[in-house]
Amino acid sequence: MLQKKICILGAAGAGKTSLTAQFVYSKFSEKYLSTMGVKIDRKKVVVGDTQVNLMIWDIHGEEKFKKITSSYLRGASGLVMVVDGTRPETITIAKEILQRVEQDVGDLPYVWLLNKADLVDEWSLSERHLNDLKEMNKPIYHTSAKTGEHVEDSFLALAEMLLLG
Amino acid sequence: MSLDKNHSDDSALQKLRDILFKQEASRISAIEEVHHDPALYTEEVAKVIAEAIALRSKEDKDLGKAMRPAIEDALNISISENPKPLSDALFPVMGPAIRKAIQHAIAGMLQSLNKSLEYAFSVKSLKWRLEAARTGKSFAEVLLLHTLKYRVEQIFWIHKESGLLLKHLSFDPSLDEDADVVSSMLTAVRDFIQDSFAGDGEQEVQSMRLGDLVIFVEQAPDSVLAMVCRGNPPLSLRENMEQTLENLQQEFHPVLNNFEGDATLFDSAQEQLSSLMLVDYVNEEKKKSPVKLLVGVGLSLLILLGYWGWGEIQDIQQQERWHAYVKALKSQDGIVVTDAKEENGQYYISGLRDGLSVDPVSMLSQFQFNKKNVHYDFQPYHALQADFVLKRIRQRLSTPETVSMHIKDGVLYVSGKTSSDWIKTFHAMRYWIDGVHAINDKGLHERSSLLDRVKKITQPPDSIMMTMQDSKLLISGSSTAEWLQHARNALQGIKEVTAYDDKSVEIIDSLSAILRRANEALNPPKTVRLYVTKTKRIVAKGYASSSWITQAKHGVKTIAYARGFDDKKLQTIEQFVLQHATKVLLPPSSVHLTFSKGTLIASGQADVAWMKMAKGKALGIKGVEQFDVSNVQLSVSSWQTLKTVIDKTQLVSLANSPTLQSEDKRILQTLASRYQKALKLNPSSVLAIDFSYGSGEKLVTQLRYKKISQVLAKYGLKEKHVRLSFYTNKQSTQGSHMTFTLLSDRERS
Repeated sequence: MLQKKICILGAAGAGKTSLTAQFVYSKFSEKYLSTMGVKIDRKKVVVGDTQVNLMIWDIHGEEKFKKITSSYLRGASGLVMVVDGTRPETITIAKEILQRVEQDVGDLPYVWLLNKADLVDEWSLSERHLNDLKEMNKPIYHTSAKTGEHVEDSFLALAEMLLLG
Repeated sequence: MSLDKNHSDDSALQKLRDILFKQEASRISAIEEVHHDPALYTEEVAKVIAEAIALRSKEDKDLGKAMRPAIEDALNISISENPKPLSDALFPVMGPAIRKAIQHAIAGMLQSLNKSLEYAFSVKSLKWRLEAARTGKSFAEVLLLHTLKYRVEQIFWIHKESGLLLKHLSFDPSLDEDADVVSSMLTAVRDFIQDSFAGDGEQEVQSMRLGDLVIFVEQAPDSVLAMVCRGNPPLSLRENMEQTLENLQQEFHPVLNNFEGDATLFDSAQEQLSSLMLVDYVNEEKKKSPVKLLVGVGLSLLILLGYWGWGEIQDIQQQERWHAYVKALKSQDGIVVTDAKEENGQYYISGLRDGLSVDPVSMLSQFQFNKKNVHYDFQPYHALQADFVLKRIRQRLSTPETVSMHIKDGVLYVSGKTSSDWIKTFHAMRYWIDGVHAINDKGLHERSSLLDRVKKITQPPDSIMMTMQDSKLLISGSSTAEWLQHARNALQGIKEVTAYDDKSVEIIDSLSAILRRANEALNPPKTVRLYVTKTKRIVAKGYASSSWITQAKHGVKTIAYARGFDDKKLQTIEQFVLQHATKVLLPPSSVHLTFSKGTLIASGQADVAWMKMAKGKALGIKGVEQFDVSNVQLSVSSWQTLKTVIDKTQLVSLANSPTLQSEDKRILQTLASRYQKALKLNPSSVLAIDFSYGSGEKLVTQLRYKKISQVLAKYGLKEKHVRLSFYTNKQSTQGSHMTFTLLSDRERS
């Protein structure tokens, strides 16, 4: 069985923790996020005939005075970038995070999760925003932590990217 | 025609090319030149190589992979040829690691000591001592077994960068399931603590404690080992953990470096990690209060063991003091303990000891040992720690306080001001200094002392010694008169020198010194006396063997300040003996004397009388051992014969006739001829002519004598050869009568 470390990143309140909770087995409570800025969960998936143990590092949401601890990113194999569909500014924050990750640990494979798909009526993302994301040529999933829509798909897609390149 | 046309087309094309691409062509040729010249090409590559490496390293890890074999080879070669530069480079890393290890060792020792003290007065100690004696184990070992209570519950071997679990071992299999999550979380916690509290420093989390649960964390470059223990684990466990991690890191370094998430690659680490899964069950016995324990122990000792027990405790304490002493010795620089043992109450220590290290005997009292009971067998060696090297140099070279020394990175730095003599000594000895690989004495300068200044001004020769006694200068040794005078004049100009003493200076170019050296060098025989003229010329007087004279002529050239050799008054022994013999023997001119090897040789013609005299005196002359007359032709008969003949010659003249008759002239001619012969035989021969004339013939006789003289002169006779005597013959009045007698010189005198 292979193990892969992935980090789930995005602006505060984008729904990272809820998404993870929907997808994984949680051993640790959410209080770690507020104290240490990270909570680690595990999800076992199968890609082809390979079992992969995804160690998901749920890193606290980026806020103005609380930046992501770069040491938590070390050794990661892939990223899950989460954006709140109802808040377009979370795209900008996510891009900034992505840029910094690239500086710290280099280029990593990643997927975009446009979260809160259950509130799609309240989405305020413009075509331009969506086109910007599409231009980055990475998989984009409309997910809902509430309904579980595409959550598993998105993580599986990342796992495939990690294994198959 | 078409050929010409083509040619002209080509030429036109070439011209066109030159016009259009002249600059490009020259640039291309310049680039080609750089490309084909290895030196220029190297220069060009050197300009961009650093940036190129940085850029490629950012892109992927291929450069690292490509360079790895070359770097490994380079490291191997560097280490095999000279490990020092690499060890110097690693020193900053090794230092903290070694310190850490020492801290652990000391902590372990203290813990052990605490336990020993705690149990030294207990009943258990007696029991365990008996057990130690029964099982053959050391008391410390038994003590350890009975006192330490811990259990290793889990071991996590974690990939350092990703926090992914490489291997997990647990006491309880139910804990295995979440090990991967715990592993990552441990990594996050470790990162969190380090980021939050250690900043950018290199400090690392080493342990975490929760009640009786402790998590030891050991970190290697690529992996982390976390050990969850319950209870009170010994620090030796920690040491084992460190060692295990080092082994794992070494064994799996390439795999760890390229870890892609496949933990099965580390299955073979199971065995090593299992060795750390130690369990020591808790002794359930209730701990007694110290007071009760002491009272209980005291009573037990009194009742059960009495005096014997007390002795045992003392033994234990003595053993502990002995171990403490040995440990203290081992911690001393310059002392290497290779063996320490106790036999029948006597203690023996052997090893190596630098003479500059602390005296082991001086430390005995601190540990309450009597030096009579401790025996040492230390072999001498030179410790190469910087302190010792410095101490040794200072001691050997009598380093003055003004010179400071320190050692850094194997280089001895010497600085300060001191005398030129010390600097000379230091330079002469510098290649004998061990423990450093280079010497930097750029900071060492000559201090101009009063003595140095005096020496600089007076420029004494090597044969002169100068010392200062306060402000008085003492000069000894030997020098020329010229230098001494120069020094005396120069000293007048140095005010700090209040007085000087040069009485003991020997003037090596004085006449007496030259004469002394001449006598020493030439060693003349007693018959020769040497003296030196004012112009420093050595004169030899007397006589000596030819070989000595030859040697002296050469030997005199080696005498300093002597200017030539005068041997005019020097004779060989042969010359001297011959001269003396000539004086004593007065040989006639017909005799030639020579002297050789103790033999006086006479040759030529000599009369019997001289021969008789010479034979009588010759052997009395000093140096004459033999008198050889075999070459002397005796002339006795010839001269005597002539004398006989001459003595018989007579001339008788008539009265009143001064004229010589022809017969007279013939007689005189014969006479003269005979005399000449006699004269040759004996140069002192004299012809005596006696005139006897009558009383009236005086005038005629005189006239006659003149005529005779003229005839004799004509035949070579001079006045000095002739002795005239005139007698008046009273019995005759006419005519005269002449008689001739040949006399030798001695007869004449």
